[in-house]
Amino acid sequence: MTALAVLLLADSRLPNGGHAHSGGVETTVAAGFLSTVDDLELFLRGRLCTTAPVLAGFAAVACLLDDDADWRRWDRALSARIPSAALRTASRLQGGALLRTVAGMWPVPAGLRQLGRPHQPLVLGAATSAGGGSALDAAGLAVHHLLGGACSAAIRLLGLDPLAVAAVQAAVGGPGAEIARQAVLAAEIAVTSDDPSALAAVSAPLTELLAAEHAQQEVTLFAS
Amino acid sequence: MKALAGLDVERGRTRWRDCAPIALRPTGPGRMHLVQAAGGPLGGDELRLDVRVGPGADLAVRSAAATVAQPGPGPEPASWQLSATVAAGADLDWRPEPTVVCAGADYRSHLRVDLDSTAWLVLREQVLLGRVGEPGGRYRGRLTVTVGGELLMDTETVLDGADPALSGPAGSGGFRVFGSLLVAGRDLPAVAERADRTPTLISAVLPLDGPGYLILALGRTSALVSAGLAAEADRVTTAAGIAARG
Amino acid sequence: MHREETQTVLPAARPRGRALRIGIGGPVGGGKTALVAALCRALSTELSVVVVTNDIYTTEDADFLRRNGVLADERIRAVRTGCCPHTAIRDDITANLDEVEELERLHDPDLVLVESGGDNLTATFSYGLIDRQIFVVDVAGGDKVPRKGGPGVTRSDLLVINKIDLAELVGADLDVMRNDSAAQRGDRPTVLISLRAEHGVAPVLDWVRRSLTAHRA
Repeated sequence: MTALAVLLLADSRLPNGGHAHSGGVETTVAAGFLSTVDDLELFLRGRLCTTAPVLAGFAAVACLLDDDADWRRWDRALSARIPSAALRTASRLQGGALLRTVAGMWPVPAGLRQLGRPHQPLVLGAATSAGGGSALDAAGLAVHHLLGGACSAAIRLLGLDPLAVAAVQAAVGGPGAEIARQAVLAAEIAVTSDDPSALAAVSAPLTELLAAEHAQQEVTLFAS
Repeated sequence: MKALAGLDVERGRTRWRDCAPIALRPTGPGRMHLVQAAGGPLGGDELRLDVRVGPGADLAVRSAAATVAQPGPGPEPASWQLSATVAAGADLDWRPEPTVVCAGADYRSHLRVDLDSTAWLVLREQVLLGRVGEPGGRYRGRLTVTVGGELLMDTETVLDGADPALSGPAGSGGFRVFGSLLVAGRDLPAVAERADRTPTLISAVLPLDGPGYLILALGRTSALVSAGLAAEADRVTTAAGIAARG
Repeated sequence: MHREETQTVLPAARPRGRALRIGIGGPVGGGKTALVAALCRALSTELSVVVVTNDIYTTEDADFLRRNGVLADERIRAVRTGCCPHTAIRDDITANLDEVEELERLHDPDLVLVESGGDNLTATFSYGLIDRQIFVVDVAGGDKVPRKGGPGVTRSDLLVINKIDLAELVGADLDVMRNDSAAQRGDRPTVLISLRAEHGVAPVLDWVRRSLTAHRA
């Protein structure tokens, strides 16, 4: 059942709130930084060296943590890594949405549920653990959703060729898997030493700036 | 080169310990200038400064010139660490000149500031990727701030003028100059998230999850970024003034 | 004005406390927003009403509702659907549930209206989100629409055929639409209305009031 549970969490058909978020693509398109499949590939590769290690690290941690861990502290540590309030809100909305769904599928730690809307990677990691998956599965899922959400939004917003986008997503999959492996190593150190500072903290300046711009637009199609 | 320098400020008294290439010079009441040997740091250098601002004391730190990070003889990065504690009712105003990261250089800074819940901090960083006409090297700047023992901010900015992914649409967007201004601690105004964008400058005010806000800017030139940070900071104070009067 | 018999044949409603949640869906331009506005105007003096809209919501829309004295701003929430309006009301209802529950918590309403973004004839609400759904089409879309069927036409709890005042202008035969609807929908009610006519919304209001009574029973 483990493999099936992981596939379920990877499936965008699972109600997880993700379809309404573009992972920064909408605002990056609007500001003129992304318009072609090549731009998208560069965007994804940029995400892999900035946001991906952070999300993957926290997902892996959440998979490794005991049910009675101090979930609030790890949630705060991720908040501290996201300067933009709009991006923190996007993460919490998706975390809340996924929690709503997975809480009906598997037992989820009470400490996580008490946060109301925890950050998405924590819910993803806890759900992976509850479904029987590994920390590497959790980190991989975090990277997969980061890339997949951006690809799907780029197709919807720019009318990019979905076959070309699928090829790009596959091309960055290798580096993505490596990011996930490194994130698990960092997560193991963080959990063993009970110290979130071992986790990656990279934030990309353009992503933060454009997220703030997106939040003040009158009309947007995506929530973030 | 390895160096550990120290700076300890109490009300009415300032003590410091230079350690080459880090030197400190008092330039006014509660005001110090950082003076670094020209042409550094180089790859392999490990420079560290520990700062303590005692209860009720004020400290402003500036620098005499831009820091120019250059490649070293080996693959090791040049590393710069600041570790500061700011006690009850104390202020730390840390605004050195920009850091220029030359082509081929690998520069890492980690600034850690622990604030008492009644302390106040303003901290500015500015990074230029490369001297004029070169793409610039790699910069990793981690900024960790706690207030009253609670983590407020822990982010690492990674820039690389020679890496298309890091200088692209999910990195620095082709801009050569990065700037940030963090304000944290006591008596902060309520801040709403906002952004401004022109073809040569993007800036934003970002309220953190706790007592602090971060102003970020990416721009074509150092002058634009400095002005952008200052303009956003002014808007925050003006808006707070209007709110206070209204 | 034509009035259609609106006998109530409703699926077993899931108990949700006091508020009745009604979804309003249908293709672009059929009159969903106008129907929401008309319902709010007629009901907001007797009931506590809140609205979640999935339509692309501009400050103009907000102004429209405000000017018409329909609802206070804080009773209206907009959900962004990421270019997938049907996903937000059917496959992944989490964002809508968040807003509905938040409005229920803040205002303790009798009635929650969830307006979908304009989509096609296959887009319907999940009953995990709403208790009843209204599907709005208009005669200007052609009198073949009811015959085409699709879950919106066949399975909605109330089918509203709007803009009957335009029937002659666009060459639509209302009898054809009425008969095709009956054939597609069995016992489920259909009303043919013009929201521009005075009291044009009355048949829908009747249905909403009866649904509310059934929901509270």
